[in-house]
Amino acid sequence: MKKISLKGLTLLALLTTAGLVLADSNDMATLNQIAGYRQWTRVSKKPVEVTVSPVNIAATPADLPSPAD
Amino acid sequence: MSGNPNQLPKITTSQGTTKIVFPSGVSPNRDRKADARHTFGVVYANDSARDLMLSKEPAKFPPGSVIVREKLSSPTATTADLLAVMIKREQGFNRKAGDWEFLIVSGDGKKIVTREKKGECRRCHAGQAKSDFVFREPTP
Repeated sequence: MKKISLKGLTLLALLTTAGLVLADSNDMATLNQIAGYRQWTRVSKKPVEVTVSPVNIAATPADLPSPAD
Repeated sequence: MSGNPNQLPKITTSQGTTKIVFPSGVSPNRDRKADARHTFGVVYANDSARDLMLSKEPAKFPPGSVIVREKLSSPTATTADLLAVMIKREQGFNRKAGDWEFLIVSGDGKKIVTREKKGECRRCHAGQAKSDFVFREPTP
């Protein structure tokens, strides 16, 4: 049986990881579930003010935890 | 590191305006954020989630329920900066958080920025375990 080099395996692992990350962020089935959400029932009639003290969930994309969680 | 990570957001309503104040100590990045910021959110629920979202009674949402909260930079903003999404998955998907999946999606709804079953989202929503991990805001 032909041996696969360590470099080859590493490259394969990297490509697989990159592919998984890409597939995860473009999970069309999930994105389709929320497509057109503005036609759903609007629960809060007025925008709710959210004060973010030196915190927060989802303030900006850069502030988010890693997707690995 | 300051603040209690288990402290819950405070929801108040005054003169028709609902305010949610997140406690310090929730974000992993809190140390580099000194300034408090204000954003605005509008919540939408799909058909499966609608009745329970509008109900005052705590109940378990059925699989397929989806709740979207738009993060808006101002009360009059017409486009969302981000979408905070909860999707109720099949039984057993996430036992510690009522089988919800938590996602942050880009404002245009085209890219999943992050998705999680635990972490910050679950920690914050854990305080609402009696209402199936969902914040029921008063409707102004």
